[in-house]
Amino acid sequence: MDKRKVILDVDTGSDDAVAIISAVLSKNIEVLGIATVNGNRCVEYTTENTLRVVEMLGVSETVPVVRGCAYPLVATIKRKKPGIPRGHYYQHAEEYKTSGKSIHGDFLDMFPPSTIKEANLNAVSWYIKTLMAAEDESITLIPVGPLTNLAHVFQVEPRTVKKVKEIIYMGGGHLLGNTRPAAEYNVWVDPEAAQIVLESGVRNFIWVPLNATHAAYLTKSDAERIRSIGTKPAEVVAELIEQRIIGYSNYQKVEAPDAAPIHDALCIAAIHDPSVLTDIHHCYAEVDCGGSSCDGETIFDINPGSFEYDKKTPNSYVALGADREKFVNILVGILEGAK
Amino acid sequence: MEKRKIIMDVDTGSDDAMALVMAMLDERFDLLGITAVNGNVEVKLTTMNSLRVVECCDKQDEVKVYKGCDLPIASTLMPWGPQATQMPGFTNPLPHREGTREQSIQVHTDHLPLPVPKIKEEPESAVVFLIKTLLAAEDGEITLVPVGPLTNIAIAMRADPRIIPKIKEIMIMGGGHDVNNSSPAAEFNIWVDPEALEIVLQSGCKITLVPLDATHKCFMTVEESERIRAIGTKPAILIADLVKQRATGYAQMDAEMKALNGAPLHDALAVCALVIPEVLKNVVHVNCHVDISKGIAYGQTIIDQRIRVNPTPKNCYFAFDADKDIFVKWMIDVLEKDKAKRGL
Repeated sequence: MDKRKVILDVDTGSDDAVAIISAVLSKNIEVLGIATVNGNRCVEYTTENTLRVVEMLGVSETVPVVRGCAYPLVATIKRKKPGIPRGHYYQHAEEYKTSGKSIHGDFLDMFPPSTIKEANLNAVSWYIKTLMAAEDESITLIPVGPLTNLAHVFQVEPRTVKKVKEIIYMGGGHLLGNTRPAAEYNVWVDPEAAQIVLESGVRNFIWVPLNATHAAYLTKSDAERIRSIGTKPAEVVAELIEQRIIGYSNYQKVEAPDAAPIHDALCIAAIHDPSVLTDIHHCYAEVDCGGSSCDGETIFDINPGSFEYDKKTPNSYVALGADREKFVNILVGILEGAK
Repeated sequence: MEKRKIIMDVDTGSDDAMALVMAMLDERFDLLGITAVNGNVEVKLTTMNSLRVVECCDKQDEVKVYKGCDLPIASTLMPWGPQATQMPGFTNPLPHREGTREQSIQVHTDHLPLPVPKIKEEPESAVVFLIKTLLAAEDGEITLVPVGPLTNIAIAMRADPRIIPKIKEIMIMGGGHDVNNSSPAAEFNIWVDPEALEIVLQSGCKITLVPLDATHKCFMTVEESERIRAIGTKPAILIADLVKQRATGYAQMDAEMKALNGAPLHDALAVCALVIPEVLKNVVHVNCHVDISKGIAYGQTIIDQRIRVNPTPKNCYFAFDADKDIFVKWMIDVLEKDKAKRGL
């Protein structure tokens, strides 16, 4: 089988790190490059963290890292979201560092500082160059942070849209939020970007929202099973899962005890086996960009009303559930396969 | 004398066409490229119209045109907002797609009154060209002259902030303090993409705004344009034709301009100000921000004129006035000189 050609767009990020590791090690995926973006941390940090992961995997020759946008489209000029970009001045940084209970942390401390560099070309120009050189509908995009880079790419060069086979996006939530009651973090950071990408005319837009990623939580015993594989990447993944379990126990408990979602990695698992995503709806979706309490809310019209004028053409797929056992087995399979 | 390296960012557009003619013919400029953007008409047409002007000036071997962004950054995302629903004089929302312009008001038309261009735009997009050209330049080497919505410039800065120190200054036609046109509070270029100007204003570059307050002082009458027509070259005749077209358009909506039988030529004033700074009068270093709250003032350029112990930091120069005589003389001089150079 031909490998799926994939570009990752990350704000690394502990769960992003697991996504990168599983994508690079997967035998079904060819990673063409990794773009970084402002998100979990400022783009300087997410780029450095991404380089650390790529260096650990030893693929810096074949997988370029390109630095993306430092600011969301409009959220920061509105001055309504203080704390973005999250840098060393992030208000809880000290507390997080000393208590060791953060979900992400500024840097992925299990790795030494990187000795490799990102590419000289910025992410937006790199995307345009790479996509324009590709066949139509040949590239899978897996963005797992705010959609800033891709929004700019489609604004700057709309001819790139038809090169995209599909977008599998970790973001949003159906009546479920995390950073705000109504909004999931990636979309909340840059709602305008999400709306632009959603409405770009891209052929298959697949949402992997919190509803799915929370269903696919991993536990301490899953981490142990992964560690027992015995490779360095497996050890790293196990450690990242455990770090997230501590963070989630402190801030955001999930349904099982001693467990945490590894949001971004679920998108990679979906490439291996689409049936890891469940409860999929083909529906009209929209992102609230109103700038108030619901800024960044994703609205999935899965039960359209009976009024004809309310009915809109479906523009995306949303997975509201996931098969957690399958997810664990896919992760283990990828890590075992790379042994 | 060393020529000033500029990139024109345009939404051609009748006044943009005149600005382009002047940027190509005034020998004090080294025009590195023309980037087109959505604005007066959709980007497909602003690109095509820019190519027409390049051909009209016989500059197709030297000057390349790049197609830029088709949509503003965020203003059209708000489905109930005026940018996405209606605007006086238009039957369709932004962008102004071909054929949607109300034909009774002809300040701008879909197509400039010039033949369909033989040349094509470059394959590269405007933002990629801007980033590539600026990154290859020395610090402070290149002047940007955006005379349409600032979408291309803002996205280039966001995609690659390393371009910011390469910019010598940015001379913008846009905004208004006491004079506005697209809404009670806003001038068209800024009203189309308010977020883009706010991004550019926060970049730290040296910025001059040439707003409607200045451009409305720098109108040209049809009578004056006849002196330009008499020069007889293709670019001179184009300018005379466009002044007449604009005067007809303004006469339908502006009593003052109707009485004068003339029209402001907004964009060309920004070009003039780069070679003759004294054409701008009452230029004040101000704190300026754009309203992006999506209410009645969406797209307004707000100048902080409060008298305070701790004034807000100044981020741009704002021209409240301009000298019409200098402006008209400059146009005639440059066009005469071009005629002499061509040996006509």
